[in-house]
Amino acid sequence: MANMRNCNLCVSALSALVGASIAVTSYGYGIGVTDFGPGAGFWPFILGVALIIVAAAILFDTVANNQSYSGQEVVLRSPGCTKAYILMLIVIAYVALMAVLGFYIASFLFLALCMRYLGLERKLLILAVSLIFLGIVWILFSKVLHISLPRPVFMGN
Amino acid sequence: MDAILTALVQTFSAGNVMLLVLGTAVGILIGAMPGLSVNMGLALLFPITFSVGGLGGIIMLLGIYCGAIYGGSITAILLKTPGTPASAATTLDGYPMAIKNGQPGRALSISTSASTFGGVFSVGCLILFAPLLAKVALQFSKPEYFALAVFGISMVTSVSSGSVLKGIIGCIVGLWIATIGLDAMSGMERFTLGTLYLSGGVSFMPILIGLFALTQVFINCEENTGVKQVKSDIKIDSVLPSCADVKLTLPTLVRSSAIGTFIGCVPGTGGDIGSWISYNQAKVWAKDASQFGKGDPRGIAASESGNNSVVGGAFIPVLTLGIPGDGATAIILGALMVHGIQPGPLLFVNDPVGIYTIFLGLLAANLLMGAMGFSMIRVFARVVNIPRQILLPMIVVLAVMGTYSYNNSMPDVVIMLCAGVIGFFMHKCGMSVPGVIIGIILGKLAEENFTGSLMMSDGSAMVFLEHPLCAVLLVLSLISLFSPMYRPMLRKIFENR
Repeated sequence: MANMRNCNLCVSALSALVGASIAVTSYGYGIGVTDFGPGAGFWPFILGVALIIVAAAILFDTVANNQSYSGQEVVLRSPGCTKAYILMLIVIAYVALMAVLGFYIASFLFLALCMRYLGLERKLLILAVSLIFLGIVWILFSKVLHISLPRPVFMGN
Repeated sequence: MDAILTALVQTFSAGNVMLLVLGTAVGILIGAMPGLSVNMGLALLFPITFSVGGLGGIIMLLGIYCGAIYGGSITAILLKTPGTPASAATTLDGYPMAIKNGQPGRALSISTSASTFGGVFSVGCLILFAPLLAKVALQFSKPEYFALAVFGISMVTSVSSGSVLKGIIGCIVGLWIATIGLDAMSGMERFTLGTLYLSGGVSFMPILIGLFALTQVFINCEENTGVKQVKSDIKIDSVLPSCADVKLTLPTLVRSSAIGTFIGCVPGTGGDIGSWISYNQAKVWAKDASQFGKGDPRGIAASESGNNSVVGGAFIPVLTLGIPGDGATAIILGALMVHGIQPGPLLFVNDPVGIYTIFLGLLAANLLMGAMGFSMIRVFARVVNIPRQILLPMIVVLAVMGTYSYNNSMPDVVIMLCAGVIGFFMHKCGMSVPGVIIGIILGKLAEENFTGSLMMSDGSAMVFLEHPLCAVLLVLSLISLFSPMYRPMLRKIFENR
């Protein structure tokens, strides 16, 4: 079971790491102040250092309130979480598929699959909603607003 | 005068009125649906603003903002489930009046008239006071602007819903994201990993849509697993307020609207604070407060005028100083900047037509919101019954489409997706999402004026203390940043006394 203490430690470590890498990279851009103003790395360097300081503050706060944070559960494994994780995978697959099948075909497949996955059981309703929604999107966005959307690879650009 | 006339023509052109109607209707629906937020609505419809051009898109966003705050009251009254946190206080008297007293139409009519009154009142204050504040702010130079940006950034402590320290981390990450790309001073590439895509900087839009729309979908999916959706099947009678109700609630409306407008002016507050304080004050000022909590019309009027009047108040710091008070105003501020409108005192001098268009747009949005509320409340009450299984996939498709259409770029969609997934885990860790957006929006302003100030002073940091207003703002920022540390101590002291 994850708790807020572990969660805070992870956030603190990650922030310190990111802060350190920002500071080191910024140092390379130049952090000195010349007649032409501060170097390109001056501002990001301050941000990197600030990130490390806040990471240290989180670490201090977590250690100081160890008991309180240990008692706070962070739910990362539950039926709801699993459902959200699977939904994330479905959305990733949808975006990947969109590059190949184009916006409309991929969106139709995504809408139908996702509604079914989220618990809508009436197949006719799923089909009708998907088609009507995409029809409205096509009229409003492609025809009226002339927004260009990804086309299927087999139809070329 | 010419500017006002031009703004009138611009605001009430057929296309812009249609966009305003669309925005307000979408806003009311989004506000009415528990789980969908005003930020999500703004993020989802933001990309459309690029297709319509001019200030039409901004007017549409104003409609969403006003509509969503009002929309939250519909489910607060009918289902005892506030659509937005700003309407939580409305449930106290709205639900008992609608269900226990059997007067849903009366409750909704009071809520609609109070929301409209509060909105219009606050826009009136905005029109009166914003130019005065802008005149003062015209004296600002680079150090003051830097201090203003820092003051805006310090508001992250107020908008952080979870841990403040983690909220600050989100804000610093946002500030860092704003540095990616070419340095404005030296032209040097920073953090681009040698890629062409990053040399232009990271777009604000994909991150915004990812954090506010996609993250919310994942959270909704998680939280509603195994939870049955509450549906409204209440028949609504007359939706126009009676003369007796108007007479009874008028003093409350004026008082609550003034309170809400003032609270809106204070960055870091929001509609929820406005409505609770207004509700509490209505109770304190009432001769007979025994009916509060049992369906008192003054309770609904106080809460709804209090939360809607926050809108106009919140625009005072946004338009005059360029400081967003919450997530929603941060998005609108970002939208204005992306459209080449830099909010701040100079906006009142350089673009009076733009500023009057925003004023008129806000006024029209509030009036339209009232008109829609009175005429279409039965439709809105039905639409909130759309199952989440249908709604969530549609939001994902709109989020993907909106992100792609911004730059016709698949990498933008990937960034949106990453932001959505990261946002979900940020939510789990108690990290504030609006902090990241505030950081990205104010990052450029802060850096440019910071380096500009140092150039002015030949590298001396004393420049920030030599300018009195700058020093005051920086001290206020420090007080705001460290408020989570001393606030509990102060509370203890006051409680002991």
